[in-house]
Amino acid sequence: MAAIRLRCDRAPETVDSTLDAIEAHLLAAGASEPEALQMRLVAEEIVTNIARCAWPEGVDAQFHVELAAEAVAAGLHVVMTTIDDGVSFDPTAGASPDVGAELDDRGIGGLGMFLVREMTDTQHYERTNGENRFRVERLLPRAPCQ
Amino acid sequence: MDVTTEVHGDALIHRVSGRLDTGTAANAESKLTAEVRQGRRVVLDMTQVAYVSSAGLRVVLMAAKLAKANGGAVSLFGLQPMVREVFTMSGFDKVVTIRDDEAAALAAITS
Repeated sequence: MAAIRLRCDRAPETVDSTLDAIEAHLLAAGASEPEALQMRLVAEEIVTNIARCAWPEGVDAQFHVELAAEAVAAGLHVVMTTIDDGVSFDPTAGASPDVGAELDDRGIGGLGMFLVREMTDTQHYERTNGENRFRVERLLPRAPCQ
Repeated sequence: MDVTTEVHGDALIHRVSGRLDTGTAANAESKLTAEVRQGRRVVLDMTQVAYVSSAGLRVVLMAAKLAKANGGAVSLFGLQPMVREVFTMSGFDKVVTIRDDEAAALAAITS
């Protein structure tokens, strides 16, 4: 299955259509619907954060999402990379929310990236040539043929 | 995301369908928190919700906090497996009342 490269901007409707394209690509590559939705969630948390926070409010900007889903012996290997030239931001560096907190103490900060970490196998961030490159990988396992 | 509402005695059941995500969160917040702000007892039927992201979790958290602050109550039932996983992963199964079916969800907020 070929990799795709999607161009996105900060408009909510563009973000939504980008997420639709990611979900559709994964389904076409053989992901089950729950698997495709899980990876859409991962993409939503990352892409929404870039669209909202990577540049000052009101600044027009574009960024890219690269998505590859490759059949390997153990299953379907999904690699998703976002590339943006916004403010330097390492999504792997944030503190995890206290998931054991009581209702009154429970906030929502950091939850999106926490879900990204929980729902992917690896996360890699680098800042090069003025760009944030954030890559996540997930193996969707398949039982071997008998 | 759509919501239809039924009255069950003193309680309301919001039957939610579609996705609770960044794109629908504002609409969901206005529809799902209006009654708990007034201290009503509210059940969220999640049977037809296949997807909840952190934006959707935030709406549910807000409903639970508003219910507590205003003397109301909120419970959920019918979480699909992926949605349930997101609630469990984030610890939300410990801060909101989740039941397996409608009768149990109603009982949880009226007892």
